[in-house]
Amino acid sequence: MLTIALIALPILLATVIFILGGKAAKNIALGGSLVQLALTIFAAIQLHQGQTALLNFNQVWMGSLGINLAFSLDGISIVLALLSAVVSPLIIYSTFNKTLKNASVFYGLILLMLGSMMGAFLAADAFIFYIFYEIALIPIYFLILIWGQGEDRAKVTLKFFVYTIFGSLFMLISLLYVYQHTTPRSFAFDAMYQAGQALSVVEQGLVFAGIFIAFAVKMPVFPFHTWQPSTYQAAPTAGTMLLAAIMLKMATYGLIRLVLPMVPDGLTEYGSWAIGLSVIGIVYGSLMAIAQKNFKLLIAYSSIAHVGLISAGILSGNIQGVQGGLFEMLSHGILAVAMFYVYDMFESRLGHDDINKMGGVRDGHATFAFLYFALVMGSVALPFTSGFVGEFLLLIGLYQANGWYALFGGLTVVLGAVYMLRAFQKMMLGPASAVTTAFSPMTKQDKIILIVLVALVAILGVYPDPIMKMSNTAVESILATIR
Amino acid sequence: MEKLVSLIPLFPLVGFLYITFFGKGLSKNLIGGIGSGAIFLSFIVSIAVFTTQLHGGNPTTVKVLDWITAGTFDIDIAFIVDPLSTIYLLFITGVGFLIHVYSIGYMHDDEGFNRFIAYLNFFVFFMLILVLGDSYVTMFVGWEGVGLCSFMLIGFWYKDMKNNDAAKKAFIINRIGDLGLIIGMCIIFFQTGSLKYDELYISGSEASSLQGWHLHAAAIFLFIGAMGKSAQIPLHTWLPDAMAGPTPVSALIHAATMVTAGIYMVARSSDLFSASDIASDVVTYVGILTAILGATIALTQNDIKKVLAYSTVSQLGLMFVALGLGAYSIAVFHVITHAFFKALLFLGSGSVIHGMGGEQDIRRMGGLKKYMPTTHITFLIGTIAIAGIPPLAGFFSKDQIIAVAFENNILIFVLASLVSALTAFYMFRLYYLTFHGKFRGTHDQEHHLHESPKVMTIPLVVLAGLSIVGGFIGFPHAVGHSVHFPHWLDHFLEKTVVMPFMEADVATESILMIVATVIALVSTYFAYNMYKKNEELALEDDEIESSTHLTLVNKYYIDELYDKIIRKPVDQLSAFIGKFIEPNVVDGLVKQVSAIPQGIGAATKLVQNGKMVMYILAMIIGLIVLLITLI
Repeated sequence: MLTIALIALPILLATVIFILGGKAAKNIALGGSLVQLALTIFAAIQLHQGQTALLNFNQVWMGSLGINLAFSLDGISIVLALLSAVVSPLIIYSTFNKTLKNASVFYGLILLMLGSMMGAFLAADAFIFYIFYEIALIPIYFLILIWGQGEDRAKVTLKFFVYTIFGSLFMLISLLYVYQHTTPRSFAFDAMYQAGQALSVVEQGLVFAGIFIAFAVKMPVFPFHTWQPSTYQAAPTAGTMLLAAIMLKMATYGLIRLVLPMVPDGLTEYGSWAIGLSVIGIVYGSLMAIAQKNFKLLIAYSSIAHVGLISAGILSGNIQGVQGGLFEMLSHGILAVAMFYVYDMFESRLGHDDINKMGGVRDGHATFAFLYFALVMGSVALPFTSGFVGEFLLLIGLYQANGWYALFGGLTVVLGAVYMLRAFQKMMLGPASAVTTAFSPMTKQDKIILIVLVALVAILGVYPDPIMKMSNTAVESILATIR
Repeated sequence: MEKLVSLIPLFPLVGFLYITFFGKGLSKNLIGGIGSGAIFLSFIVSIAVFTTQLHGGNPTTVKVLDWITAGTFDIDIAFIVDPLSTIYLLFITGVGFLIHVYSIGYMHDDEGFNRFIAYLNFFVFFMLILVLGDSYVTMFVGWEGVGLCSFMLIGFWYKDMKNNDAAKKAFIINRIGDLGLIIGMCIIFFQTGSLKYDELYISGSEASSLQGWHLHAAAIFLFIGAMGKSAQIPLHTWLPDAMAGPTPVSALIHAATMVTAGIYMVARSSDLFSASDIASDVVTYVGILTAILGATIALTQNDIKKVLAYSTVSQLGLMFVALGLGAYSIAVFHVITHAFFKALLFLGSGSVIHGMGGEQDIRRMGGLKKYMPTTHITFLIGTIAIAGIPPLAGFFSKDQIIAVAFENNILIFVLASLVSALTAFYMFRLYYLTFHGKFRGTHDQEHHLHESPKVMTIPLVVLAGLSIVGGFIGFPHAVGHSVHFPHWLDHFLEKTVVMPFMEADVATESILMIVATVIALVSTYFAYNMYKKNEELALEDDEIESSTHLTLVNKYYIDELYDKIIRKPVDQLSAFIGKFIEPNVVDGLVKQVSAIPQGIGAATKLVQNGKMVMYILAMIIGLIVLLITLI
């Protein structure tokens, strides 16, 4: 029941907000997301204590098709559930200093999106997963179209939308193909795993290709990424946060849930092209980030690099890679919200995000400089920040697949420092300038959001173990089904 | 007793946090007191922990926190107490404490005083984690942490972009090394399933599963990490630029402690390196090349801190020569003596810079000995120590490196002796140009010349004392044996590092000692003759004509080379991808593909009423229809 509540609560609240409207919308949204956080923590405690009664739900839906409303919260789902629950109040709160037209619709859409993403993370049935995976697109489409920026955003969103749907079609075909081999017909994950593993290696390779293309578009992995920077650019900051922090995780999560246990032999035999593309994406994204002068685009491309590493590590199919991937999802989500918030602070104060036209902000803004620098360190994966744990494990995992992948993908260690430090220095350091005065002091909202995020980056970096232990068993059992 | 070890890094961490978050409004003396007090407490506890090892205690591990779990990859935050880590603890906290005290005086008028002391505390915290970590991963926490502090302290005066550039350069070059270290760890983990020292080395069983090219590759990749942190060719270029930071930083981080982390790591992995002859050769030759490069450049530099910086590069090279030749304990010995005299020399140069009102060019100095007597005497002691003149500290450690080279590889022996000769020469050149002759600065500077306050000179005196007697912890083996004065350090470390096989007899050892002494003295005499007796001066930049001299002044043009072959190509590649590949090739392909359905789309325009919800609904309906037909 708890799992259902985690999905239903945001959706119900969204309905309430749509109906009531008015000024209370943002407070309802924030309050609701905090309740969601409390529920998720409660679920985590349940899971930790091994009490799974509340965490599984299974109800026949379309019996003749073998589709069940099946949800389950295990050690893997909980990481994503926690990520969503932790960052959504922050994302909602980050918009409080903005005057939005039709605010109630805005917050309602955010909650809808959260509900559907939660549905994807908790689904125990491939069909349910697919539905929620797709539905999440609708709210974000409108969020960008209505509250986004730039003249060409209609075109940009259309590209994003069509591209993603187009990619998903391949997944649908793959899933249906596996489904056809289940007896009795069922979309339940376990049945799909069994049917998938029984397929011939070539079939598995093709099924893998279909699923991976869908996820590669969503994450995005090179060369399927060209919708991403322009979409991030066009989206309102909260929308970009939702996309980068949570939405793309449906795809990386899907790699663990739908690829590793379903088509393991296809991945091993015919999967190296996917790892190869992911690794290329790491370097490509980093080089693109170096070439950017707009901070938002820089973060967008750095996200491509980080996600490439997550994808490559998970596809390595060993426990270090998968555990690293999971933890990096959490870390990346937190840091993405943080970095886009920093972007928003500059953009709203200076009216632009061109790092070449900044500088000297540190002077007189010591606290902000400290917080932003801590986030930069998290983003370059310094030990004792959340970024390190995931990145290090991913490289350990990747090395086991192929040493060259690790060496090439490991370039992110160097290149990440190049673009992040350069951005930080150009924005913050140097002599005081006109930018220094134009940059008004941090508001209470700025402080709360950044301090919470920095604290999360530090705490997860120093003491990641409770979360790692929770996911460790679940990942081990997923990987055990492969053998 | 060993349990106390967790307190050692805790004090500086608390110091850092306290000063950062509650330091506002406190007096500078109080802040300085908190900062140095924290390190002093660590020093006291370090002595206690060290004593357990001194009295033959067994190496122990103290676990603090579960850290990372991923299947068989199971790493804790845990500290190792053994001879190698405790000896490092002693000099990190000891020298660290003195430099903290000195900083109270040196940084007194700086507006960033609090920040400076806090960063120094933070640095010591990470340095202690580095040597205390019980696995490569925990060590890596400290390894990257000290890099972070180094970055923050090089760019301490952040309003000048030149300092920020130097800081960034240090961080990025170190990251190249770190990538090597990470790959090294990947290899070790993949082959042995562990990254903990006690599983890998002490029991001896795990590391032996590293065979063939895995073994060599693991050692070489670890060494790439060491190259970055310890400024070895080709990753040495950041260290001289790092002198942009305040001088106490140069003394603590970029001479005494952090840059010796690479030596620590290789010594810690002595089982691995001694098993790989290829890796050991690489270490030896990179070390000797670096030693020569550093020493030759130091001959021509005129910035007092740059001379010392290149000297550090060169001395680190000698330490790697010892490591490569299998004399791990002797490398550690040189680390310790070097920490004493190089910290002394840097702090001395800081005192000079302080007195000169910020001037660092030795061509504008001269005759300082009568204005700054304490600084002068202690600097002279440091110079004698580094030059390798007995019985000061540097003599013993350097002489033993040369002795090991003599027994193993005559070419290395000759080159190491040459480095030794150059060292004595450039150091005395520096000394004479700074403290002797006529004052060459402005009248204003001369007017303001003064000896530094006690808070700065007392640390100098203590370090000078250590530079005099520090060498006796490692009295030469054969000679020591005959006079009943054993090599204490070797004896102490033999539990944790592989020991070299020493066969030199008393006669050989004595002769080598005499040869080394003569080389140092002759070289000193040359410097004396040139810069003291004939009062020759260093050339101004536009007076230099010889191309050799120009090459050396310009540090063999290596920075320019890297700029050309690495930095610019990366920038150009990024720009090319951004301007051409991304829009035309990658996205171009997408546009081509999307053009196809657009043609079809024109026919179905009726359905496209612009509402995306329609798409989704149509899709879901289509999906269900598809399903039903399938069954």
